[in-house]
Amino acid sequence: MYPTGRAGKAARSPQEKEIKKKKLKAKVGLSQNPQVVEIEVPESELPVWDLDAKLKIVGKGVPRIEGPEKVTGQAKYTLDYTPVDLPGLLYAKVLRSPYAHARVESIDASRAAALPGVKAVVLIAKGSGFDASNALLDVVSDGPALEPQDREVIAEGEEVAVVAAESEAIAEDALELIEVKYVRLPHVVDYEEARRPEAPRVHKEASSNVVPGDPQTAGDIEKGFKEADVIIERTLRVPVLLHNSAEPHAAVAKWEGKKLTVWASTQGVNGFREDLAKAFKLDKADVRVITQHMGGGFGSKFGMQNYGGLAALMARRAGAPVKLAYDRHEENQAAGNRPNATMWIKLGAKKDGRLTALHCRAYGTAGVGRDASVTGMMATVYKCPNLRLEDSDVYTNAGMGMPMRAPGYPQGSFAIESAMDELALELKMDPLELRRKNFVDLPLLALEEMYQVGAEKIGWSRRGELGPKPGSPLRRGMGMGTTGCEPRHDRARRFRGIRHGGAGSGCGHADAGRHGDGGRIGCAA
Amino acid sequence: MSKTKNGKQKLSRRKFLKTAGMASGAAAVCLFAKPAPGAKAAAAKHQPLGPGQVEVRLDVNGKVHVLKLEPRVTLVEALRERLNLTGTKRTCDHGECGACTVLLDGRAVCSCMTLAVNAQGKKIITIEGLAQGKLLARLQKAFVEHDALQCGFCTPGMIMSLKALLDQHPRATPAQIRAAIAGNYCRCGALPNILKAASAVARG
Repeated sequence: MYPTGRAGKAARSPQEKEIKKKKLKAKVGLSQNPQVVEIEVPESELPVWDLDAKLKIVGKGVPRIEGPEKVTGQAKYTLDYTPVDLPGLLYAKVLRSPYAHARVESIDASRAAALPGVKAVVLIAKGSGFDASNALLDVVSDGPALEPQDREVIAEGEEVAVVAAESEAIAEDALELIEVKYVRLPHVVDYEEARRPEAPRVHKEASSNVVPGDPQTAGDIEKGFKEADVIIERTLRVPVLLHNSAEPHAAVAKWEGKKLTVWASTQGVNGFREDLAKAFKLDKADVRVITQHMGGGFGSKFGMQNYGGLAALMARRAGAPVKLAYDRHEENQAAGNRPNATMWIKLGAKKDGRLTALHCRAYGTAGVGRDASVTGMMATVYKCPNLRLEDSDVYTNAGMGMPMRAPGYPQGSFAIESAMDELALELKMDPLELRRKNFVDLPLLALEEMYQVGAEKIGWSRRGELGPKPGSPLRRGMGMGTTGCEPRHDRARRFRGIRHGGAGSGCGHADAGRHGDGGRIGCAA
Repeated sequence: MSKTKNGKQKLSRRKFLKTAGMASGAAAVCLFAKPAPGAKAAAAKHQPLGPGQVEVRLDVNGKVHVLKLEPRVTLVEALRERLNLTGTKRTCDHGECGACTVLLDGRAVCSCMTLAVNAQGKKIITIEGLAQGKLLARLQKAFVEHDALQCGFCTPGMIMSLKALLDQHPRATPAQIRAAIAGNYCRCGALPNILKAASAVARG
C-alpha cells in the first residue's frame, strides 16, 4: 500500500543519515529582489543552477513532447491494448459484493465456467477488504465451486470472483451466472456512528473501529494559549471525494514462462513491480511494469492494488494475456477514495498576529483501509512554537482510502487555512499579512516572493471592490491559501532541483501530463 | 450487472441493448412502449437483426470495413477492439463524459451510445482521421501549441466536439465553443487552455 509516514512526516531513506553535506550559495527568487541564500547539499552534489546560471533548455517554454501523440489518438494507454497488440488477449471482469457486510456461505461458478468463451474462473476464498493485495493472492480456490467458508465481505464492492473470457460481453454474461449465497451482517458506513462503542466492528482483529495515531507535539500548548491575546476555535468537515480519473484503473498482464510483463495504469511503476514480485514470489528482474501514458491518477493509482494482482493471476490461470479494466461504476466504488475529516482546531495568537499555539484534533474514515490522517501538514506551513496535532482513523464498511493530491494535505489545508482566515478577522488583520507573520520560508522556496507576485497579479489589495454589480444575483470574492507537499520518494534524490517526482534516467514516476517527460529531458540537459 | 437486494434482476443498459439488438434501431425504442399508430406497418418494413453475429459495413475515416458483430455491439467497442482505433476512448460508457465522441455525417455523437449497426451508411470520422500523415489538423496543432491537454484522455473527444462545431461555424464565438464541449469532461484541469486553443482556431 502507499507508504505514508505517520503524522505527515516523510518516510526517510536510511542512507540519508550517513551522507556528508557541504554548504553552497545560491541566488534565488522570483522577481526583482533575488536573495543569495546558503543551502546544505550532499558533498557529491554538482554546482547548483540558480538565477545566475546560463541555461539553454531549463526555464524555457517547450511544447509538450507527447502532445502530437495525444492529439492524434496515437498515444497508447493501458486501456488501449487490444487483441491486435496481444494476440489471444482475454478480458477479465470482477464479481463484487452488493453488501457492506456479509458472510459468504457458498459460491457456485460452475455455470459460468461452462459458458463458451470463458477461459478462467477464480473464486476469492478469503477477503482482503480491498487493502492487502498480497493477502488476496494467497487465498484463491481451484475449483469452480466453493463450500461454506469463514469468509466475510466487509465492504460493498469487495471482490468475490473473477472471470476471464474472449470478450468483455462474455465475461459480463459469465458474472451473471455465478451464484453467491450471502448472509447479511450488521454494517456501519457512517464514520460518526462507527466511532460509537456499540457500532458493528469492521475488522474483527481490531479491538475498536477507532485507531488513534501518535500525536505530534512541540512546546507546551497550555502555556501557548495562556500567552495568546486572541484564541479561536472551530470545527470543520470535509467529505469523501472520488478521484474518478478519466482512464479507469487497468492492467494488462502477460506471462512468458516465469517472466511477467504488466502494462499498468499506475503512478509508480517501481512500487507496482515490487508488489507483483512479492505477491507472485518472483525475482524483481523477471518482472517488468510499463506505463507509457496514464489517463490521470490523482493519487489513486499507487501500488499493485487488486486490479494488478488479479490481472496477473488470471493471465497465469488462463495461459493467455489478460486485460482487467474497471468500468466507471467500479472506478467509483473500488478504486480508492479521498478520506473525509472532521477537524477541531484551536488557534492562539498575539495581537500582532504571531501564532502562539495550535491544537488540532481530527478523525476521518479511509473505509476498511488506513491513513485518514490530515494534521501533519499543519506543522510544516506555519511557525508555531507550541502545538499538538492528533489524528485518528475510523474504520467503516466502505472502500479503502487512497491519497488525493497528497495524502491528507487538502483536508488539513482547508482546516488550517480557514482557521487562519477567521483568526485574521478577529485580529482585524489582512489575511495575507497574517500569513506573512507566520509562514515557514525554506531557503529555496521563495514563498515571500510568491505572496508578493501572486497578490499583485490578482489585485489582492483591491479585493474589497469586488462588490455585487447592481441587479446581479452573483457575488464575487477573493481568497488565498498556502499549502505544500514535501518530496516523499527517496528516488527523487537522484536529480537536482526543487520539483519532486522525476528527472534524469530511471524515473518511476508516471507522467500523467504534468510535463513529467519534458521535465525529465530538461533536467538531463 | 447486479441483482437488486431482493434478488430480482435490474434492467441494465446492457440487457436492454442485448434485447434491442434483436430489432433494427428505430423499432427498438418501441419495445417497452405502446406501439404508435402505424408502427405495426413501419415495423414490418424493418428486418430484425440477429441473434448471433451479423455483417456490418462501417465507413471509418474514408475506408470501408466489413465486420461480423452482434447487433448489441456499440460503435465505440467496434472501433476500439475490432478496428484497433483506440484514439476514441471509452470512459463512462453511458453517454455522459464525451470521451467517445466521433463524427457521424458531421455530427458529434457519443459512440458508446450508438450501435455499430446504426452507424452503417454514415461517414464516421474518428480522431485518427484528422491528421494527414504527419501533418496535424489546425485544431490538433492549436492543442499542442496552447498546451490544451495534460493526461490527454479527454483530448480526442474534445477535439472531435470542437471539429463538429468549427466545421459548421468556423468563426464560432466563445459561448458557442463552451456549449460545444459542455458534454466533454476533463479531470485534469486543461479547460482554460482548451478554450484558448479553440478560440485561436476560430479567430483564424
